Amino acid sequence: MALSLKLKYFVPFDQLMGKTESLPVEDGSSVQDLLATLAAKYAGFSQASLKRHLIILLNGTLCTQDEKLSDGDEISILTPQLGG
Amino acid sequence: MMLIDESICTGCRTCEFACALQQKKSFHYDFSLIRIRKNKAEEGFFLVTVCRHCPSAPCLAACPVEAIGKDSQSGIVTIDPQKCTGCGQCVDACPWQAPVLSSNDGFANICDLCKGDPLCVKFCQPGALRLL
Amino acid sequence: MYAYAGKILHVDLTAEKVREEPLSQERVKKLMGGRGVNAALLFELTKPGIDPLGEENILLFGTGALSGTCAPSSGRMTITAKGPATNLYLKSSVGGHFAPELKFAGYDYLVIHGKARRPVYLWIQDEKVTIRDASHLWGKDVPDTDELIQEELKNDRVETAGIGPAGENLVKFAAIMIGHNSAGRGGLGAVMGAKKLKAVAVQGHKPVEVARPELFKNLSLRALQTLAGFEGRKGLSLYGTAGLVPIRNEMQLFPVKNFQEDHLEGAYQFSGQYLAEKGYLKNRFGCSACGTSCHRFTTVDEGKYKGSKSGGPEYETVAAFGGGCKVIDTEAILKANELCNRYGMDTISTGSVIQWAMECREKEVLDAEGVNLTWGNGEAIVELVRRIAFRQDIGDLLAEGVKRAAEKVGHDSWKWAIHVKGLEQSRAEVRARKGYALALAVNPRGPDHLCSQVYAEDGATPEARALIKKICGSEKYATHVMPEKRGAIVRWHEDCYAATDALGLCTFVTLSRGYLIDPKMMTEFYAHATGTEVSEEELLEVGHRIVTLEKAFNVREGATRKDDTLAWRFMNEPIRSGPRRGMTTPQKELDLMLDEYYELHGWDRATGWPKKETLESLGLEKVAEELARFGKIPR
Repeated sequence: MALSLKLKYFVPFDQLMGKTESLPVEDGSSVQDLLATLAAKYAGFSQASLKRHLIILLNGTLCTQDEKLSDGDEISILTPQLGG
Repeated sequence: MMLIDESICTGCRTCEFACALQQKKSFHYDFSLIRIRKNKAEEGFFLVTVCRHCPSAPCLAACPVEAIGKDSQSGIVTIDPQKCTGCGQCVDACPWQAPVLSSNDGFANICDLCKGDPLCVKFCQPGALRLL
Repeated sequence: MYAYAGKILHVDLTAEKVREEPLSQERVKKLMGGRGVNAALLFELTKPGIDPLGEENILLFGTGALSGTCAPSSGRMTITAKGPATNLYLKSSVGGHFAPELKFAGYDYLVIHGKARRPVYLWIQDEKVTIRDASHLWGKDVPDTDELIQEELKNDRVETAGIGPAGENLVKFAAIMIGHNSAGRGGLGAVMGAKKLKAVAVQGHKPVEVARPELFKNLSLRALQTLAGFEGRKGLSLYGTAGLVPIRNEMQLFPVKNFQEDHLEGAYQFSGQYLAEKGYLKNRFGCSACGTSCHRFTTVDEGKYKGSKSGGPEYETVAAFGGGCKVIDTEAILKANELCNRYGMDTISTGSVIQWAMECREKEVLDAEGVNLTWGNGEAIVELVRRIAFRQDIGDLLAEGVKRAAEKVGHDSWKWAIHVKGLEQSRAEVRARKGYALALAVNPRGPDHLCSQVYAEDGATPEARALIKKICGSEKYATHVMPEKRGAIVRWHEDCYAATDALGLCTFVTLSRGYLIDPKMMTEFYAHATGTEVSEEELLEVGHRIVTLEKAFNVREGATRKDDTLAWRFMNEPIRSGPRRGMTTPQKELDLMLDEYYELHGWDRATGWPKKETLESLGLEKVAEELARFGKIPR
């Protein structure tokens, strides 16, 4: 069974992958699996996903890459930002 | 030669400190052979004054005592301190007025490109300084 | 003396006398530099109960131990005084290029005493100090003042720290400006204005020497590589601090309408990304030795605010004027930022006081003649900045800061006056971020948007989780919604931030989100610069000592545990929407965190006062004696 996910891409990824995307993934997938799928799909993304420093939001909250996904989840992919 | 993009210089002056460290093993803008100044004609931008070791090198012809030479292989322009009289003609001839007349002995000094591996380029994060 | 200039300069504006004091090895060993020595001098040279705007207050400019070198981002300076907004300890950190120049002029520290009879400015060049008439400069905005001083001194290499009309008019959040950079928080500009000191101009030729030039060079290059390896630095360079807006907005932790809401549709229009995309960003500015150059230079080239140009805006600026006031008008925000910089006024507090006023109008307890205080009104912000700087009409009320303004207005307006200790809080949602909340509550100067960042607590990266494991013993504490262990997390960060400030480094290269130049590397920089080896423990102990000194100042002024608190809204009104809906940081949780924090510090739980043995263990015996004299040592 596939899980249907809504993905939101932020700067700089939106230039490569667009702003949003609906993507099905395998049941039982983790965030890490999702990133691997994206890296395979978008050549430019593979570099970033290999770098550990991504900010991933799962339904609006920070998550680690081993978090398991559910049907209808919304995932935002950002790079970390410094500020104050 | 040095490729300078003044439009992306942020005025952080790290290059001046790096050059000072290289030249004099201590820190002051006066020891640096690259100089960053505010561009008064264009607010928010900076002027980068340093020998570009440019192909035309008008300083060579301008020097009345032939103290300035250009290495045919590396392209690096040098001033012979033994011959230099501190007249300042090279400064006038240079489109960027790059040679620095020393406040100590009055002689002209220019960037020696750190013998081919310029430190300022290594320290420049904005990428305004590049070695061609 | 390697790294240091070796001297403290005292200028007495009342007597018009100047005195030099050597910077002792003992002071340097105990407090390292910058913020540290400032804190000690403030404690030693003032008595409790003085008026921050009176003659007895002192104003300190402290360079970092590494300032004036190529150590990355090492040009930060700390300015310290007793604060007009809080009547407590005040420090503000600022970048630009003033710190190296003060060292080149011969001094690590400048201490201003007394009060001039008429407006003056200081000219410090190569250890020669002149007190010059500034009556022709009084009333002028900051950029004009800087230019006039350079013309007058016939010297375009002068660096200036000065005030604008806001400082002259004693606005409680007037800033001291160094070019486009702001020592913004707490009203240091008013301290300077009260002393009738318009500016300090410096220039010098004394080089900064380091003990091991070759090793220092290699370490600096290695540090640059470390910085370059972190993805977040690219964003900081490209988009500045305002690049943080989309993340916080996406997390629905972006304060809107005076912290009533946590998400704003259209917030992207004042993000750092937008400013770059749409061409408002013309160039980036870098502080001394900082190639990351996060500071912005933005202009408005068309429309109502055509011709506006300034440094900034920062995250806190757009978050205060944009999110806080629910204004999406990018250009109005840029104009407000420009005016704050021209008048020399802190954008955090200015935005805070305006959104408080807008909520007052919403709740029908305040109105302003000629200014429409509705949420989202960009023109109103611009007009209010002017009125506040010049204390006109409602500006006179707002210039006092939210705490005093709420006391005047009454009704329940104190409930939405978002401050701690009398200093307005920056735009961070602390109902969901417990460590951040604790850090804001306990900081001696009031909420500190830089030194309260304890990002590791959210465990967003492997490094963050590893650090939490190191501090707390387990990764399970790497979540920002849990109050447990926040005391330990804040303690570790406090010491590191203080060490950062003592060295003159920018918090963005040491901690913030990236944790890049770590304590070990800081000790290496210090050793190669000064020739003196220090261990990591010693470095963090210096940090600890500084934090304790700052606390001691407040204790002597009468501060107690009740001053380590949060705004009522965060303790009583839950987040209204989003994934963190329903959260507050209630008193019970704050108490739990404070208990742990005080315990770890060795401070009395009931009063927050440092215990005698705590002070003595840090070599602060004289501080203990002084506090005992005032009956402030817990039994």
